[in-house]
Amino acid sequence: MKWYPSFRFQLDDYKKGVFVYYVVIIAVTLFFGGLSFVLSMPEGAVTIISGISAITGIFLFVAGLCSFKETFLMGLQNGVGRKSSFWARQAAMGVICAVLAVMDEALTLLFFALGYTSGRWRARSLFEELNAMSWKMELSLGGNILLSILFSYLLFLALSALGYFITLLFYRLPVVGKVLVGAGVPLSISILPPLLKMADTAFFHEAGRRALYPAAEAFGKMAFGAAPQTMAFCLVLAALFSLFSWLLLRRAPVK
Amino acid sequence: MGISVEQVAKRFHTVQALKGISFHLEKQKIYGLLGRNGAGKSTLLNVMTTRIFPELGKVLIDEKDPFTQEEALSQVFLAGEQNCYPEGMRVREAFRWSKVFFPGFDADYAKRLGESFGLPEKTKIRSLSTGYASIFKLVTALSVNTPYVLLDEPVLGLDANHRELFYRLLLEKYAQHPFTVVISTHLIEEIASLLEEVLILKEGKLLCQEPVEELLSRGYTVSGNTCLVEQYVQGRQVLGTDQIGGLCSAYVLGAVDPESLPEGLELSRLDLQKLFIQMTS
Repeated sequence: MKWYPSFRFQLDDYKKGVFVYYVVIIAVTLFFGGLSFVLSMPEGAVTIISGISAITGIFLFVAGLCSFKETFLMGLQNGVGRKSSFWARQAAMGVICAVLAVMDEALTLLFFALGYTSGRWRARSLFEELNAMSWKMELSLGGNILLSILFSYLLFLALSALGYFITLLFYRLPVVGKVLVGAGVPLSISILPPLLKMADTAFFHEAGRRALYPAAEAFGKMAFGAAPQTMAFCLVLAALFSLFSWLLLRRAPVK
Repeated sequence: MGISVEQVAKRFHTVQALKGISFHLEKQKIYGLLGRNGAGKSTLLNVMTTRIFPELGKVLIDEKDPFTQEEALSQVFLAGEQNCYPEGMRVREAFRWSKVFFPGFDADYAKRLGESFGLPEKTKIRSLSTGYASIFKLVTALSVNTPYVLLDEPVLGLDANHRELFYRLLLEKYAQHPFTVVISTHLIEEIASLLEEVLILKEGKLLCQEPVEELLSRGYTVSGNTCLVEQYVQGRQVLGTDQIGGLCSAYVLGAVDPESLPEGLELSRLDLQKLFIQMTS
């Protein structure tokens, strides 16, 4: 099993991207933070910098989309089997997500400290933002930091696993399948709900909605009703997407 | 021990690329994998290294199935037609990573080989010309030190000087550390003297697997005055003839009786390429 060399390779693959990403994030944040000093703002107005983790999540999703073919081919060229390649990917994903979750929290704290001294801007993590909006948990500073890191970590795992799954799905699909999925998914998201709604109104006197809405509401409450549930939901998603990825990878040929 | 291929079949849409091929490759031997275009050579090498899956049959590397026992994959290196290295990777980086993946990779040797071929180390692999891309693969394959090395069209795009250099280096390496080499190529004349055994594929089937000497002992070449040669070959199975001016060489199948050879004619070994052409036409 050559999972460790493959793990090192996959980790290395992320290095440059992560470095560039944080340079951009720091520069953009400082630029907009700096604007609050330059622009005339009303007395007591505070700029809130929040949710770096949301952007990092998108970055990891995109990185997941880009991280299959080259590492897969490089692995096979160098005697790495599909199973080792998959576990190496899981390990690399785990490490990268952990590092980025910690980095995000460190940056949030740094921006918070900078803003605290100036009084012009405040920084909050994505977890703190959501907690303040929906969950309303009373937490100490330490608890906030720990949960922010854990929340970001699990969110990153789910998004990264989703990106990897999508790229693998497209790799395995034949051209017709790629076109069908590529065009069919966005189309069905935009067209299907209004059509279903119309059909429900016309033929079932909204019975479908009466049945579906409470179920959707119950699911939403179960998945996002509280922070631990949301985190568990992210973990389940990460595990599911990883499982699907493995099922696609185990018979993936070189193309 | 060795590589066993058992009843391997592979289909691409309507094309049956491999039709139940079976053979065994011994350790520390140089094999030639010969076949016309589309015979299934690259498909076979790709199946042997798990790059593609066979519909039927199995491959065993040192009695282990590389599809399920991944450690078997570490024993084999394929320098294939397809470039599997990442887009932006440079030659030097590829050597560094080869050392990580194959601890036996001899980086100093690779550097020396690269220098003797004039391989630019700082260049991106995908930017290399066809010839230098082949050289990069050859240098890696010769430095990787795995028990089995499979070379698919190894001299593609190489000039005559570089081809000579490669054949010499391969033999040197083989003499120092014997390993199993499978060379798939169309340049049969050039590699004939290197090979110990040949596998000939035709339309997805294994036509023969024989030691080169045995294969060539199936016939002989007779040369001399055209009229004499034409008289001599009458009633014999002739693979083909080459004529230059009044001189002629005929490639004949069957056992030779030197006593019956008319004066003025000369006997020599059969030509592997002529034999191959006859077998696969």
